[in-house]
Amino acid sequence: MDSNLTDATLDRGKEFLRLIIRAVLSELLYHVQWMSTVVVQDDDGTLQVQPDSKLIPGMKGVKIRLGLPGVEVKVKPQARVMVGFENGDPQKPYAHVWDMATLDSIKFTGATSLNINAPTVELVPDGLATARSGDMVAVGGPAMTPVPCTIVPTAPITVAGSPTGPWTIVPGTPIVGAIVLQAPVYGTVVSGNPNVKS
Amino acid sequence: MFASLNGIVLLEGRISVPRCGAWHADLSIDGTSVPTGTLSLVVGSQTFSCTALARPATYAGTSYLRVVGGKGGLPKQVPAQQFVGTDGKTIVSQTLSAVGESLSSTSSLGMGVDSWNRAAGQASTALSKFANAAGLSWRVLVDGTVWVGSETWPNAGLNPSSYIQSDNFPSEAFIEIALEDPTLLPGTLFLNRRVSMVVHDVGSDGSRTKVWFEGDS
Repeated sequence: MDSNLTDATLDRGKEFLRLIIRAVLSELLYHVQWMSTVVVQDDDGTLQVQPDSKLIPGMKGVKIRLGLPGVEVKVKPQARVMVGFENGDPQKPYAHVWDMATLDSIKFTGATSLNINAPTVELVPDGLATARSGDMVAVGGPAMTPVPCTIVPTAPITVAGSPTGPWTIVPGTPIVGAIVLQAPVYGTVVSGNPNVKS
Repeated sequence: MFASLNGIVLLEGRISVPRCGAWHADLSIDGTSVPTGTLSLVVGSQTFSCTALARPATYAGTSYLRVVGGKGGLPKQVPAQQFVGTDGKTIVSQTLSAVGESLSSTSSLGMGVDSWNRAAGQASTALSKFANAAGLSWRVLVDGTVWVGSETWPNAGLNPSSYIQSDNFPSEAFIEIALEDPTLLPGTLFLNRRVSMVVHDVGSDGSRTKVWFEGDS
C-alpha cells in the first residue's frame, strides 16, 4: 500500500464508494419484504399497515395476496404480516405471509365446488358428529319426556276393561293424552341440502 | 471573456451539465476568500445559481472549489412517506422542499397519483424513482431550480457564427466546439441531434464546450 495514502484519503475514498453503493442499494428497498403490523383492515378489504422499519412509510390501501384464489380474510388489528411491492413498484404494495395473525373470518368462493378430503373434518373443537342424508336416527325410549298428543279416530273404537262395561268412542271424538315410547323408534334422515356433502 | 463567482474573478472552470441530474462545476478563483451560501457563477450571458459542496482548498493565492447547481440539498435524506390521492407536483415539490430545493415553474407534473410510497433515502434517489415511474426526466436548471417533465427537445438556437466545431468523434456521439457563451444546454437539439450532456471549459485561453449526444441521435 502506498504510504502516502493517509487515513483521511482512504476515508474519503470509502465515503465516496459508500455514497455510490447507497444510491444503488436504495433502489432495492422496493424489492425487499418488510415485516409490518396491521393497523386496521378497511371495508374494501385492504390494510393499513405500519412497517417496523422507518425506511418505508406507513401505508394504506395495501392489498392482501393470500396465494390462494377465491379466499378472502378479515384480520384483527395488530396482526403481523410481510409487505412487499409488486414488481418493485412503489405504487403497488401488497401484504402476504402472515405471522401471529388473528383471523376474524375467512371466506372461500369457488365457481364449481369446495372439496375437503380428509378422514376427519372438524368444524368446531371437540364438536359432535354431523348427521347426513341416509344416517340412522333414533327417537323415543324410557327416558323420553312424554309427548302431548291428540288422537282423532276415524272409526269406532271399543274400549274394554271399564268397570261399567265396554264403551265406544265415536269417530271424530278427540282423545287427548300423552305418549311415551318405551323403546326407541328408528328411522333414517331422508333429506338434506344437495349442495353440502360429507 | 470575463467570468466570476459572486464577483470574484474566475481563473478556470469546468461546468458539467447532464440531461438528468444536478450540474456541477469545478472552479478555481482568484484569492483565498471564498464566498459561502448561494453563489452566482457568471459566465458570458449565463448566471448559474449554485452552492459550494465541500470546504475549498487554497494554494498560492488561488482557491479551488466544487459547486453544485441549486442549494446542495439533493444528497440529503428525506423520510419515508406515503402520498395518497394527490398529484405529481405535490409529491415532487414536497420532496424538494424537505431538503431546501425548489421546483421549477416550467415543470410539467399535472398527473394525478392514486398512491405513491416514497422510501427514506436521498432526495435525488426519491426524485429519480418517481420520475422514472412517471416516464419523466429531471435536472437542475441554470437558475438552480429543479425541472421535472417530459423532454420536448427545443432547438438550441445557437447562431452558427457563435461557435466553431473543432473535433468530432462519431463513434462516441461526441463533438467539441469553441463557444464563448455557454448557452448550449442538454435537452435541446443541436445540429439536429439531441444533446445529452455538455461540459463547458472556461479559462484564460478561451472557452470550449464538449457535447455528447443521445445514443440514438
